[in-house]
Amino acid sequence: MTADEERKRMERLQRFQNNASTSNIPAPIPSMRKGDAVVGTSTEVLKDYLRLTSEVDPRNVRPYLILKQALKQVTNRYKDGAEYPWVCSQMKSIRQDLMVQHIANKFSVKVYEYHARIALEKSDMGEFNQCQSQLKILYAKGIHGHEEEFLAYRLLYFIFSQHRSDMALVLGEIKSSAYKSSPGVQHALAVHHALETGNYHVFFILYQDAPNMNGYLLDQFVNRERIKALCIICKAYQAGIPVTFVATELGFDDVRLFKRFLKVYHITKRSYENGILQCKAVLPMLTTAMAKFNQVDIRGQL
Amino acid sequence: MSLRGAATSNVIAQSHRFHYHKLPEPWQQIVEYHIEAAIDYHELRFVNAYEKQKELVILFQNSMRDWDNWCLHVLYVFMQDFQYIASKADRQMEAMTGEEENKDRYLKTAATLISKSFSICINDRMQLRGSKKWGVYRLSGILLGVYIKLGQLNLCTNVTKAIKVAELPEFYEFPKGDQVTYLYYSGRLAFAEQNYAQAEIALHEAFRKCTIRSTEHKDMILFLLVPIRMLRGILPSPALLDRYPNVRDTYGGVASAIKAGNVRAFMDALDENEQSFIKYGTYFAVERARSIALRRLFHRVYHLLDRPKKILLHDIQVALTFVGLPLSMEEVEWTMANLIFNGFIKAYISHEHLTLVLSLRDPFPPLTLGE
Repeated sequence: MTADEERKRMERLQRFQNNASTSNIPAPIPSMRKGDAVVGTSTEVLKDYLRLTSEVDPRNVRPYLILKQALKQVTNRYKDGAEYPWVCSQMKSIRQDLMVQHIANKFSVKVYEYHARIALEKSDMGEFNQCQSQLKILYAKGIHGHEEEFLAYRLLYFIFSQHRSDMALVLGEIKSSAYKSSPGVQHALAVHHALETGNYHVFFILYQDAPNMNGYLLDQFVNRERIKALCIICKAYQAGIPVTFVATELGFDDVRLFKRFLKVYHITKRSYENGILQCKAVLPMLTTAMAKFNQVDIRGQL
Repeated sequence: MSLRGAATSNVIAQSHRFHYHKLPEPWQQIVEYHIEAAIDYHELRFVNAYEKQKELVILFQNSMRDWDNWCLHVLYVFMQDFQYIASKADRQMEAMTGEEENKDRYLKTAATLISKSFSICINDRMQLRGSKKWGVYRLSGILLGVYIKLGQLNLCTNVTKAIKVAELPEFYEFPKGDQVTYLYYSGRLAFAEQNYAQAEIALHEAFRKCTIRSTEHKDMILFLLVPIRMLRGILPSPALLDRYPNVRDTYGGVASAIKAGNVRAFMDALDENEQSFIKYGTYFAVERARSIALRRLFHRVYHLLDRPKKILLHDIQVALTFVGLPLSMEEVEWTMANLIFNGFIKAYISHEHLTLVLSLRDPFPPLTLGE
């Protein structure tokens, strides 16, 4: 760094310090590793996400007030139709700047909740999982946000990812939680119970009528459950079963939508010619479909 | 010699002896660490106690390689103490700082060191008679216990794999206590992976070999064995439940509900003891037993109706309502469809006639742990 650049840097720092008001800036939470918290100096509001590979440079990190502006701008642009990849990158960089400055407060919760919700909208389960894991840590520190909403999402996420041990832990948490009777959590519990008891009748009713964003999570595994349900039906109704009945039970508003669904898994008109689903014939296609679902790896990227 | 309990004050009381009579190294240093750890532990400075114990372990491990297996009994005590103190230190840190990150950091470090001891033993090249290989199963027990406490089940497979490929004396030649411990953990791990058939074999053997005097260990084994047996339709006998009251408290309710085929009572008992089941990791296994209760119910209906070829779904609906489970007709169909799919009943459903058509031969096949 030349003397010239050094001087300019000091000037920029001075400018920032003069402009910043002291009332709203939170102090970084004191932690055991006091040396690690960085104080950012960047004034560039928008920044794309770049994974950290070396030590953090404070000049690239935005301070708290700038981050607040950043969130506002990003949310507005998303509302105006900005593409998700760009929005996601912006949100990740805001999260990163918060993380390296050890900022953990209501604003952080707001950031993670926002990203989690739009990730759900766009079926980005990797980012969703990262955000909801962080939120759990923040809520545990006593920072408030929409705990009840996200408690329900956590249960549904583990049902989606089929992580039984995590599922058991969340169930335990819910039973002793204050949010036990909130509509979102009750819905998630009902979904869990319906799936455990194979009560697909109730499951698909719950699918069609879900509070908050529970429906988006259910969307992630509804087709998997439909195939499972079809496997059960085909084993049990060997003499055949009316297509209209199955369509209703599996939560399709219209029989045609159900037929379109079947086509995706190579089940064609031949298998239900006179309105009766030919169960035995359909089983091999279903087995193939089930195998595909069990291969999907949904671990959140880190 | 252990640090736990009353022995601690004993150690401290004897400590003055070592100021005057010096021992050869590394023993002098080891004893000093041991005494310091005891004092710290006694005065509830668990983190300090942990640090001292850690130094002791490292020192002991370095010297251990050249020693014969006489050192094993000492090793066991040091390792047990180490993991115990590490846990206490972690809890103390958590209480003081309330931090969630870096949780269990002491126990994690302890695990690495214990794992090292395990490696030293399993790779010991000495003659069989004096070999440290004889410590393998005991150490594996300590190590697996730590991994399970940390929730790091994936690391457990490293241990079991290492044992499988190592050249060790026959299993039954090892001390019975070590055998039981290892069988218990094998069973527990198999259980966690829902490999119930394998788990049952290991746990049954563990129960058989476990001395009747260790009621705590018998309880632990039964806590896993009972739900597995329930899934095979084998319920704990009243005699067993009498002898092990803890087991009765937790599993008695669900067991009697299954016996009666009372699904509602089963669900209530499941709810009531939920926390215990989740704590021991048996919740999902027990939840599955609901199907057993259902099967029991329909088996009784089948006999009551004098083994008919067909049963009206309507009659099934009545039976379910009778035991406190009023379901809609669609839900009844799904219930039966699930039982058929899972192999509990051999039949098919006619939706048109809303009837269950039973297989002519053996509609209620004997239960296996097929899955």
